[in-house]
Amino acid sequence: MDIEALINDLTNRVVIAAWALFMLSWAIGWLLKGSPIPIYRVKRFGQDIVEDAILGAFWLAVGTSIFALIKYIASST
Amino acid sequence: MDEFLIIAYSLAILTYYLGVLIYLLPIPVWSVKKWAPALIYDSFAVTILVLLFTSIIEATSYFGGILGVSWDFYFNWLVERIAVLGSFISLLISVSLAISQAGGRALVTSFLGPITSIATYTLIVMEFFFVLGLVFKEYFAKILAFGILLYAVPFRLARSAGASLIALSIVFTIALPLLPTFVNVMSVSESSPLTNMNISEPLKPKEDLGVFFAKGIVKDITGEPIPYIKTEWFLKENSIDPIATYYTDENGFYNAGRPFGGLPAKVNGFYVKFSYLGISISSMNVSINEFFYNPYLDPNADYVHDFTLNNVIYFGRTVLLILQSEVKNAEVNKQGNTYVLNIVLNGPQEAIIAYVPEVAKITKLKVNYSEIEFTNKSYIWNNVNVSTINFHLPKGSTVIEVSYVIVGEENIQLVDKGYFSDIDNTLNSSINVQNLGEAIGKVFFQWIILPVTYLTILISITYSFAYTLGGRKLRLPIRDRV
Repeated sequence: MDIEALINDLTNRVVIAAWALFMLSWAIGWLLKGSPIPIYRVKRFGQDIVEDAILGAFWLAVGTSIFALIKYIASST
Repeated sequence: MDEFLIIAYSLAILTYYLGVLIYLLPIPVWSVKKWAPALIYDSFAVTILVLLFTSIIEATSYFGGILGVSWDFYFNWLVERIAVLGSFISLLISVSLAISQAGGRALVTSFLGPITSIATYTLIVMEFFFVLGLVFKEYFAKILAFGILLYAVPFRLARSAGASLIALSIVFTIALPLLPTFVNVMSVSESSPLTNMNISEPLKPKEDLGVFFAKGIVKDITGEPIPYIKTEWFLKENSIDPIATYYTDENGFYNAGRPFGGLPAKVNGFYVKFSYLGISISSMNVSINEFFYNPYLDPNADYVHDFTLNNVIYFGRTVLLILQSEVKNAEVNKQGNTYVLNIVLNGPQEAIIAYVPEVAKITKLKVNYSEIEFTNKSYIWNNVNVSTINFHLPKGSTVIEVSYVIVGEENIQLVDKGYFSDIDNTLNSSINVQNLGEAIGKVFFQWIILPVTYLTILISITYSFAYTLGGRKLRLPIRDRV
C-alpha cells in the first residue's frame, strides 16, 4: 500500500470517527445539560460540549465541501 | 503534479479532519482541545501552499529575472575558476616534485606545500558551490515540494524543517546565482588573480625520468685525477643536446650532486663525451648499473662512478698530453721539472699537449731523447687562454720528456650546466615567492572568504524567512476557560 492510499484510508477513518464522536458529544452534552444535577459547572460543561459538537460538525461539513470542491476543480482542469 | 504535493495535500486533509475530531472530543482537557483550531489552520495553510506551488515557482523565477539571475553565468564563473585552480594545483605539485627531487625540500615544505593546500581548499570550496548550484538549479521544485510535504505533517512535527526547506529553496534559487556579482562588487582587485600568474611548465620529461645524484673522478692512464675535464652527458649516442654538462674540479671530481646536479635515473645508461679545454678527448657509454651506491663520499651525492681515460696523461698544472689511440701501459717519472713518460704505441700518430699559458710554460719537449722544436697554437676557450703543441710520435716503445715551469696560479672558473639547472631559473623567474603569495592571498579572499560570507548571508536570510513561514507560535483562538 503506498503512502498516499494509507493517508487517504486514515482520513476516511478519521472522518467516520469524527461523525461518530459528533453523535456521542451531542448526546453527552445534552445529557449533562439536561441532567437533574444542581451543579452549575457540570451543566455548563454539557453546554460547552454541545457548542463544540455543533462547531465541529460545521467545520466537518464545510471541510468536506471545500475539499470536494477542490477535487472537482482539480479534476476538471 | 508532484508526488510530494499529492501526499502533502492528503496530509492536509487528514490534518483538517484530525482537527475537527479533536474539536468533537467530549473531554474537558484544554491542552488537547487547543490543537483543534491549530490543526484546522495548518491544514488551510498547507492547502494554500500546495495550490500556490506553481505560482511560487513562477514568482521565484520572475524575481530572479528582475534581479538578473543567470545560472549559466554562475556555472561559467565557477567552471572558469575551477579550471584555473586545477591546472594551477597540478603545476604546483609538479614544481614541488621537481624541486624536492632537486634537494629543495625546505622550500617545498615551507612555502609551496601550504600554498598547494590553500589552493586545494579553494578548489574544494569552488566545487562545493558548483554542486550547490546544481542542486538548486535541478531540484528547486523538488526541494520546495518536499518542504511543503514536511510542512504538512500533522501536529507540526516537521513544520520548522519544512519551513526551512521552503525558505532555503526560494532564497538560494533567487540569490545563489548572484554570487559572482557579489564577489565582483566586494573585491577591489582584478577579477581573476591567478590568470596573471605566469608559471612556465617545469621540466616535464625530467619528472618521468627520475633523478639520482652522482659524483666521481676522471683519471688518466696512470690513475692521476684530471681537472677541468668537460663531461657532456647524453641519453643516447646520437643525441644532439646533452642533458647535463659537468666539469671536473681541481681534484678531478665531476659533481652531479645536489641541488642542481643530478642525472636521470630511469634510463639504461649514458653516452659521455670528454673534452679538455675545447679539445675532444674521447667518449664512452656508461651503464646506470656501473654507478655504485656510496652516500658517504659526499652528502650531496649518493652514487659514485669513476672514469678512466686511456688516451691522456696529466702532468699537473693544466698540462695534458692527448694521444689519438688508447695505450695500455704508461709510466711517468718526475725528475725536477721534467716528466718522463714511457709508453708503447700501436702505430705512429699525432699527439697534442694542451695547457693554460698563465699557469704553466712548456720549456722543453723530447721524444725518444731527441728534442723537438715546437710552436704553440693559442686560442681562447670559455674565457680561458689555451695553448696547444702538436707533434708526431713513432710506433712502438716511446719515451716522452716534458719540461715546464710554473708561471702563475690556477684560476679557471668553469660553470656546470646541471640536469636541474633550469629549476634554478624556474624558481627565480617564474615562481616569484612574493607574487605567488600575493596571488594566493587574493584567491583565498575572493574565492573562499567572499563566497562563504555570501553563503552565510543567504543562510541567515533563509533562517529569518523560515521563521516567518513556520516558526512563529500561533495564537490559538480558544475561549478563555475558567
